[in-house]
Amino acid sequence: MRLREWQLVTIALAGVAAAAALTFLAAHLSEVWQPAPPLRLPGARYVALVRVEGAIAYKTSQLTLFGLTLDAEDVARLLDQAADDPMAGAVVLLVNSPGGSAAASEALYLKVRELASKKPVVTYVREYGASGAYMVALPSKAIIASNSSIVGSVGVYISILTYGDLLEKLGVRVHVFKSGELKDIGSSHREPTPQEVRVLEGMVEEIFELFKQRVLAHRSIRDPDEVFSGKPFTASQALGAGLIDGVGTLDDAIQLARELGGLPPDAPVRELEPPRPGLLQLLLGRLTSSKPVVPSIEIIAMWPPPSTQP
Amino acid sequence: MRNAAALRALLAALSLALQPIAGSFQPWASGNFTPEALVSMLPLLGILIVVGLLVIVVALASWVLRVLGWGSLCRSKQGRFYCITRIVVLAAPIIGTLIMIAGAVVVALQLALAPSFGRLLPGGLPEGALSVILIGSVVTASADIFEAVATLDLGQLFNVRLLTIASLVFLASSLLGAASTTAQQLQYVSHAASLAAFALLTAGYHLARGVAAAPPPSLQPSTPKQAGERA
Repeated sequence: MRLREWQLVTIALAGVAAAAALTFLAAHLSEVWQPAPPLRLPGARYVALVRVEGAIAYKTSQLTLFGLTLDAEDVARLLDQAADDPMAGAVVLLVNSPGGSAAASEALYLKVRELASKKPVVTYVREYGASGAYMVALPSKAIIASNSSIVGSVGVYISILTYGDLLEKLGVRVHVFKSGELKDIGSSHREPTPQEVRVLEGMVEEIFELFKQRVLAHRSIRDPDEVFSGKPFTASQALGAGLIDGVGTLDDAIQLARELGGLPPDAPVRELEPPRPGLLQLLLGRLTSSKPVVPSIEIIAMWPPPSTQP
Repeated sequence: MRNAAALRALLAALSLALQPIAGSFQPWASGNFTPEALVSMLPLLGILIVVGLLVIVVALASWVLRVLGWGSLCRSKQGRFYCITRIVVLAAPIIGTLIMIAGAVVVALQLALAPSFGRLLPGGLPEGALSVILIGSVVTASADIFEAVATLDLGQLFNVRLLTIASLVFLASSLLGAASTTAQQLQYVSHAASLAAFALLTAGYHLARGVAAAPPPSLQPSTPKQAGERA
């Protein structure tokens, strides 16, 4: 015997109600509705995470020719963003950098110092926190490194590649007409003269002195001679030398940042990222890009030294 | 209707086959977005994309056939419930999908504005947005539920026992399907039940088609004179 229409509709609607009940019950019982710390809506105080990954340089630096670099200006903007946002209760710098250009590293150091005067900054060193990257980390309230990381290599250098002998073998001559004796200092076409060596060494010494003073201002170093020899340290060695405050994980650094910032233990972490270029920007960028002409001398605070491999 | 059921049986079989592959994406669910993890997922992603496109085409084809099938039953004036079923089968999947998309957009926006570091899934989904997604899932499932009840009536109309049984299995699989939206443990069972339901429906509709070659009992004239009057 066929059911009547109203009976069919009633059964169908009852089925829909049963499906709804089962669905919400299943969701309630399953993992999906047992959230890890519930997401907070925008407006809750958070820990800002800023990555410092890759060689520290400006876009036009010669270091950009040697592989993955981060644009120091982008990072500086993110640090400003963290400083200006009242909801950012603390900042974690995730450092994985061998250093880079001394000028770019110093610019970021000054930014971090300014930021650290406003809110707690904790640095976590993932793989490398060497040379210029270590300088950037100096103003942090605490520096924590992963067990297998390399820290230190405090120092700067200038590297000049000369191929004058090769040119001579090839019968190539370079003629330079200069206004002053030191105008073409650092030229790759010839060996540096003793006077040029003295000038370059003076430049390195002056920048290094600045680096040294900053390390001494921010850290209690146990053996300055060892640290300022440019030696890279493992995490445990760095802890013994007074270069870092602890060996741990990123979670440890985040938790410490929460404590220093007076944030609850489940305060969310928000990674600040530079804006991605739009499609138009990418297309136009490709159409207008050309190999930059870069200076051949750059004071570098970096370990290990940049490779010429692509 | 028979062809639509056969296509849905194929879809259910594909879903069952894809379950193990979907589990391979667990590293993503754990928040492991390293380049190595992404590269290792690429072949699977390729397979999923190809199969996914096939599933979409087959699902659309079966949906069109179902709408047409219930439409022709509505026009045959066998009962108004078939007309209601046609409307629900037509509209509910569209509305339900739109609701689920809206819920997913809300989740994405909230995650983008205030993300948790590391793990994105499972857990940590905003409850409000999840409710929206579940409502969408229920609305989508209502099409199957109405269809199951209409098939139950068809089974009684054409006196095909297999169709009646198939409709009950279909109803159960629809309820399971809705519940398995969030309960991963139920998905295998749900897909298996769907496969069984659609296989039974295919056979049931095939039998009913044979029965329907003669006019259904409700329209059979009681006397030859009445048959002549109708002509």
